Amino acid sequence: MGFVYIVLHLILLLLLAPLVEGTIRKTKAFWQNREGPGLLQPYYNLIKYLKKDSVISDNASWLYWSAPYLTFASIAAAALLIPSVSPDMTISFAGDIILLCYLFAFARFYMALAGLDTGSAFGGMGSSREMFISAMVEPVMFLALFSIALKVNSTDLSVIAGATASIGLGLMNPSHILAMIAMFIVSLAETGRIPIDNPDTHLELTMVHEGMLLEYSGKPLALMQYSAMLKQMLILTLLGNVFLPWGGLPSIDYIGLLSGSLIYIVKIFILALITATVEIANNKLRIFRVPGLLMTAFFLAGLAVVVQLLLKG
Amino acid sequence: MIISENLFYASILTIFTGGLLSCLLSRNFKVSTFIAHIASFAGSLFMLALAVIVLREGDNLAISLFKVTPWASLNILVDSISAFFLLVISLSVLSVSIYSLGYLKEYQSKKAAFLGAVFNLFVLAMYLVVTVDNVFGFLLVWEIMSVVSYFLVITNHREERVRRAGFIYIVMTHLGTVFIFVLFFILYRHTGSLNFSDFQSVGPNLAKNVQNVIFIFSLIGFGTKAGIMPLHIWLPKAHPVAPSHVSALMSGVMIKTAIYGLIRVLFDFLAVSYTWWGITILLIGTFTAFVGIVYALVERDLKKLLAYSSVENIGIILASLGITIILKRYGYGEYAAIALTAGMFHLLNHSIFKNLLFMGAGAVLYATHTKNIDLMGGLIKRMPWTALFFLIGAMSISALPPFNGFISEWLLLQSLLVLGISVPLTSLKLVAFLVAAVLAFSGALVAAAFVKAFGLTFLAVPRSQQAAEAKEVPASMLAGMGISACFCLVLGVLPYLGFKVLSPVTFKITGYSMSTQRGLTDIFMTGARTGLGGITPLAVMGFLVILIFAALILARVLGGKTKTRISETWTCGETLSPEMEYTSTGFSHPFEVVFKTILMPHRVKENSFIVAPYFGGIIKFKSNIKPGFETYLYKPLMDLFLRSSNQVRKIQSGSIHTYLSYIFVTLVILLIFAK
Repeated sequence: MGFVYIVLHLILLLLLAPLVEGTIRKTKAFWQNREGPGLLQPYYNLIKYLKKDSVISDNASWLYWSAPYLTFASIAAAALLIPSVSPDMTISFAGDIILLCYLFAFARFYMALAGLDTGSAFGGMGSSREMFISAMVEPVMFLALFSIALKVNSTDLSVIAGATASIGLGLMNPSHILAMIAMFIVSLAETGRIPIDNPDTHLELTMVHEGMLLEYSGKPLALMQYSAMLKQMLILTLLGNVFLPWGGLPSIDYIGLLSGSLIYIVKIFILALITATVEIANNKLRIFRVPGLLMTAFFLAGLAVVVQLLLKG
Repeated sequence: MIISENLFYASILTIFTGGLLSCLLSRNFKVSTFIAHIASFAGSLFMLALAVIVLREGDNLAISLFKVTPWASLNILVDSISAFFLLVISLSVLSVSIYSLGYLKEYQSKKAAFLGAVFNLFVLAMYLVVTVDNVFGFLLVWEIMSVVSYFLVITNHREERVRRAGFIYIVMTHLGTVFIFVLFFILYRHTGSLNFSDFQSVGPNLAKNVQNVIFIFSLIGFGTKAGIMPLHIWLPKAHPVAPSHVSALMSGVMIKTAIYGLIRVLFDFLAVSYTWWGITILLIGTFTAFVGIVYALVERDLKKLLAYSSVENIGIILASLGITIILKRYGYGEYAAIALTAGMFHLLNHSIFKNLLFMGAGAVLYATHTKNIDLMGGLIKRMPWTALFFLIGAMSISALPPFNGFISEWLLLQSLLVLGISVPLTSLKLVAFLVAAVLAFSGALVAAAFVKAFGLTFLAVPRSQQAAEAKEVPASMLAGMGISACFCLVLGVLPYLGFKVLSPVTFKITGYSMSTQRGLTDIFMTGARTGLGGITPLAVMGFLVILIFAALILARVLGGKTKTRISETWTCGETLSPEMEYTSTGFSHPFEVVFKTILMPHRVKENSFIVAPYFGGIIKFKSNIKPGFETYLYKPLMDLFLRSSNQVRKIQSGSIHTYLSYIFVTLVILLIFAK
């Protein structure tokens, strides 16, 4: 029975991911006084790419066409670890937050290699910058997550989500807020948003994530973009269920699942609105200014741990 | 007991005879190297069997090899710690021996017929270092190991660079050995014995100062061999210039013998009496790991990159030893077992994937005759198998699931968290979290370094003629790499095997072990568990495979059948040429800028103009990394040493009469003091 719920959870995330992306784009268009494409445009795009023939560079190797599948699989495996509607809907026996971070690293590793594989300078630039930024993000992400792990004495995400949900608003001590801000900055970096990366541009000097995907077309492109949307969804879920735990994560019964899904979806869309607004209110940073921002996040996460240690005694 | 004794003799004799025969047959290069490496392969199989028997049965093996006087003897004692290190060494030698069969063709023209014999002597010395049971024997085989590896390093001694690297290696190694000598001398002074067994009984009761001095001496002495910063300077010089199969063994296992020494002295002789030892080792290890990988990241020489990465991994191993000591001192034996398992499992893993990567680098060197990453590229199409194995190595070292590096990285982060949650001292807790952050940072840098090492070596278009003409290496070399790659996957998916092997070791040192915890005995689904969380790598691997197929099916169902066309890479309308590609230097440039305080990069750009300033001519660009440790630490010390030597020279007149008077004066002074 548990297995069915896990599949349902994955399907929910897979179905919602493009809609969240569409919402973010629509919100950005709203703030820019544009009409913007419809909420469902990401779905149309994905289907369109899936149906197109693809062109592969003659320099590319097997790594290039396998990378989209490996990237997608690792992000989807990460999705199985993060509880969405209920803490019981994960494969928590398989891994914890550390595995989650390393599954993201797995996807990044292949994406960066794929960026290098065609020999295009854009791809190389994207890979180099992606590895550069992710190196700065990693310690922040670990510290922020560890400050929560320290609070509930567990690295298991379903335990963390369950515990934070049961404590609810009482959880919002200074440590938690600091960690949440740090994690929010991480989420901007991990999802490739302004001020760190710009998802809307193909201008060679500014792109990071898009640079790595520049040579992709057709089905592989669809998978790569879908992975990025799913990863964004996961990061928002992590923010929503671990750092903003109100609303609770109900147990598995019909009413619980229904109300849980509703609360979860509302939370995710509010977070998407915030993300879009923050993105629109900022400028893209020069690449060498990014470490400064992430350093700030690092100190916030470090402070979160210190405060948590002091509060715990 | 009888079986294991016979196995030990069989192994030693096989390797020794193999070496001897290859010396005798050195006229025929092929036969000579074949015999040497088949012997080291067979000998290592025996040693592997011995290690497994000792670890399984728990019976120590004691042999007295020879005895000249009571102190000048060579006694062997294989306990669980020794057996574990025997296992690590023999697993490495197994794959490297097979690899060497093919790789040595590279040296055929250079008439290095004795290379096989020296290799066997080196292997023999390493086996003995981790098994001898008395001071005389240990120092003897330790010196043999150092000197023999020196000869292996200077195989290409016609190059000035190689001789220089060899010189630095032998000087640094002996500097370390001096400390080890003194350390054993101190132990002898206080125990009156030269046997390790007496050290074990008396060691923990020694006075505080004596123990602290022994700790510092062992850290410096063994640390030099292990390559902890700032004593590492020989490592990135000596490992790259050695033949690749030797680099693999030096980086994979030789530096681990120093870890063995450290464990023997700190845990076995002294039973870790002070917490500050743990904190010191933890901080030094973290520093070594971080700075090591920063240097590796900007390195253009593939083998040097790997050597710096070994420095980083030694840092990780040391850090987990530090955590073990702290947790053990605070009485958390069960947690200490997790930290120790993390360290020892990483030691095993590192020996496997570093072998693999050095063998891969050797294969690239064999095919392209260059170590410069900027001159490679496109090798994945020319050397598909080497590329696959190197990729597995790169993924393992970057701690990506489902390979073995991930398990030890996971355990390490878990043990840091455990440390941060359990110890009663808030400042120590904070240190644990900060170390975790620094190690996570290093981990991400490792991934960047190996995206670079693999991506720029094997992918895209060849950047030089040599790379374009590269061909796949012989089957024996591929087999050697393949064996290591399989170990990476097996240990990554079934970590229980590693825990099982390690449980006698951790039990001996901490009183607990990972594999027996919570009664988990299932080989497939046990994974790794601590009090905080757990992973089941087999399940992760299973989900990954299922999801890959799900992605394939999803794409097919939603998109229907599509065609794929092969075409050129888009380069804004130009034809792609190798100059347009990203280079290794370009790839690591952002890191160079951010870490400029550590790396101190030096860049010179010279523009020449045809018509200044409008028509540019040739632009020259030079960049290099300043070797900080050498410039600011070793150079002043060297200068001081040379200056004081110059002062001493003044009393050396060269006249025999003066020297005779010196001897006389010394004698008088000694007589006065010695009465």
